[in-house]
Amino acid sequence: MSAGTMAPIERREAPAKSEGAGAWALIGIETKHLLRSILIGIGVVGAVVATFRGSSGEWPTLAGADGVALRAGDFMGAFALLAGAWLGLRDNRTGAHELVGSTPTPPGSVRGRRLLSLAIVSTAAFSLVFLTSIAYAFARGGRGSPDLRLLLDGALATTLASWVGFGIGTLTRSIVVSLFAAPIYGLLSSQGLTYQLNIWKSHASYQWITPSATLPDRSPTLGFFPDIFWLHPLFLAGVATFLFSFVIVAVRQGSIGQRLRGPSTGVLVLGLATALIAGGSLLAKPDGYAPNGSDPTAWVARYDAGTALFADKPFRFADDHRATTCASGRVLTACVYPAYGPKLARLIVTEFEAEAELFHGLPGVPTKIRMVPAEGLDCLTKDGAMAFTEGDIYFLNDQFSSAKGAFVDCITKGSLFGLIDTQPSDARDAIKVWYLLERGVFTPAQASAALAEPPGQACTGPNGETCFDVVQILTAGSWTPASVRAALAMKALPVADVIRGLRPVWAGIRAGTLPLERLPGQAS
Amino acid sequence: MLVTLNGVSKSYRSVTALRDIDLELRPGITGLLGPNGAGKTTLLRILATLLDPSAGSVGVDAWDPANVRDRTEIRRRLGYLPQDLGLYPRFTAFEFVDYIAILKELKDRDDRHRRVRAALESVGIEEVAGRKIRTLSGGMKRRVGIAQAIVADPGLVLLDEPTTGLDPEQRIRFRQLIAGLGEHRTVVLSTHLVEDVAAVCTSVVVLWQGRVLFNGPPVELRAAADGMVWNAPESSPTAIAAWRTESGAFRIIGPKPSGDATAVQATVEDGYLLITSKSPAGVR
Repeated sequence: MSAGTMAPIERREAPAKSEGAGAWALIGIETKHLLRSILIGIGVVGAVVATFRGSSGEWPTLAGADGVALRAGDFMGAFALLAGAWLGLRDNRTGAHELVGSTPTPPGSVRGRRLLSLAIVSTAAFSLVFLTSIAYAFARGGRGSPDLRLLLDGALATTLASWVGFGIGTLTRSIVVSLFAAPIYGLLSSQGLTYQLNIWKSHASYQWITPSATLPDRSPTLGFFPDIFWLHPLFLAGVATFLFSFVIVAVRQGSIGQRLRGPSTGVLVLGLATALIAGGSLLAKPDGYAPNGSDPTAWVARYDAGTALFADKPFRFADDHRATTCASGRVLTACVYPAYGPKLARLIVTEFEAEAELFHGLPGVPTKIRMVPAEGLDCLTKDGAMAFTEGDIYFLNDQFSSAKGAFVDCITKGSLFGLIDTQPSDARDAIKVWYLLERGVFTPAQASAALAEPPGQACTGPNGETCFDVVQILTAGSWTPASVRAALAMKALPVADVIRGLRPVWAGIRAGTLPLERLPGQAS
Repeated sequence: MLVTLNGVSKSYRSVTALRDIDLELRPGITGLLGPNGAGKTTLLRILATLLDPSAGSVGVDAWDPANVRDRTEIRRRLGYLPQDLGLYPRFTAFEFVDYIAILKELKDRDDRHRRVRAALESVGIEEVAGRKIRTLSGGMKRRVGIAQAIVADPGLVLLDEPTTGLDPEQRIRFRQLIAGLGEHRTVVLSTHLVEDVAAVCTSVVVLWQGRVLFNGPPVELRAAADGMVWNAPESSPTAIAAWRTESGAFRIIGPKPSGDATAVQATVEDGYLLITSKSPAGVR
């Protein structure tokens, strides 16, 4: 305070307009402070860490990284909710509500500007997470195109979370309630609500109308099955528009009639209608599709396919000529969708060629592995080509031995659904054990010793831990001592003789009807 | 600005905070005096359009705060410093005053920033304008509050206990600031510090249990105690109020005490004590 007379304060005329004055200036200040918020910071860091962790189990593609970011958005959303609650609580916690309330800016306008600030910061925060995920996948060799609709969807979901938090903070004025709201919202917005509603066993896909959308089956080349990412952002935008205008209308002064007057009421109705229409359309979408061929438009909804799809009904997964990134070895060629890059094609050849080479020359043993878009299907062998589903990449990354086992399983079955073992066969098991002996997974001596162990006894180490040795492989599996003995007899023969001996009986092995005695090297 | 209150009452359930208040507040500085619970803050909150009266009417120039549009017009011309001043601790002093200036519809950025700087300068905290509010002392925070109240050049300034937390030097400076404000504006200064009122106010309203006990210039309030203030070596059983002064003698308000007592010049505080003591349940 100056010691002399006070500096004169200039007089000013009252502004002509009451609405919109300095709106962006206030949004700018709020945005600046929200960007510095520790809550937003924790949300971004946590979500980025979640994208790194989520990416580790997936083959890097830019079209997969966008989904990883969307899933990590749940974490971001929880902290955006807390940041929104903090902003909603601020006036009452600091006691500034009287000061703010005595200004000419209507409370609805103040809240509207704060909601817009939250939207800007939420969008910026999720965009950062999204771009980090994309950049990380790119750095790991991922290619293809990210689906930018997921950026829009994640930004809207994060914004919605922050607005819900703002509403909770404003209405309850309670820190405790706001703190508890974050995990509850996270649970309800993602999985919890879906599980609760699905107990009704209806065909309505509730998982598509949660704020954080559950990711449908997805192919980086063909897209989502079902594709919800036009309707879901529209649904979120409708809900957000409704909430935004509800805030404006609710805090307007006067009777209900006066409150409902004005353009914001029209926007409120528009938002509600959009949310209802888009939400209804999402509910009507199937929970997924069961592929029944190479034409995705002909796929049937999973709940309509029922068990019939898994009844080993043959169908062609004709070459759609989309798997064009190929690599070739001595006997095997692998072709994948370009989004996965040539590295994956080379990896498939490298890892499966030994198996393909061992069985080379037998009818139906694949000389080509071709990528198909479906999830959950394996062994779609046809005309020397084996289908490699996009979901199998997970096994390549984390459980490579399982992938090889599945490959051999497919070779010995030749059925459309090779992993569903509906017809146990000692002869087929003997082939698998022979394969393990030839690959050096265990020696004939170990296999013989394992036969002396009681069946079904799991291997335990010195401290009681489970282990995976030959005893467990042979005794915990379904293989019988007879099939192991048959494999040992085959192992005593040269590989070429075994293959030559298998060729005439191969069809019976794949059909599961060949008796053990007809395998090569068996005493008649 | 001319502020009129006609028969204004305010009740909170069973508690009546204001009873049938009739007042006319004109440009100049009006001191609102009264003990805690007298209804000063309630009256200011009604004037600030934050509360509606339970009965009676308020007018600010030609505007009626009961009307939504009029209320906005009043708020455009209002500078308000609440008793429980709420500031955003993470904001800097400049940002906070700028924030309130935006809410007060100062649209042009350059002009607004100039006014914010001028307001901060006028309360003497321009040097800490960039510091976060949470790092400021209580007195500095109070001055930030005053700066936000004056930043938009209000025609009606309501200050609720503005000198709370200010040291004596700051209070003197604050009085100079208020005196400057009161030259062209209607300033209502709520306080329980009589010396503040005596120093700067052009009129005084004394509130007591929700009623107006006195409304007039400070000189009249002082005059109410003329001939009723004494210096005496002993206290008096007939005294309305009595206390020992630095000289060791008693200052007595009331009828002339018996014995060796000399009449002394009355002050505004003496008048205030005399008036409030005459009311029902007044203190002695």
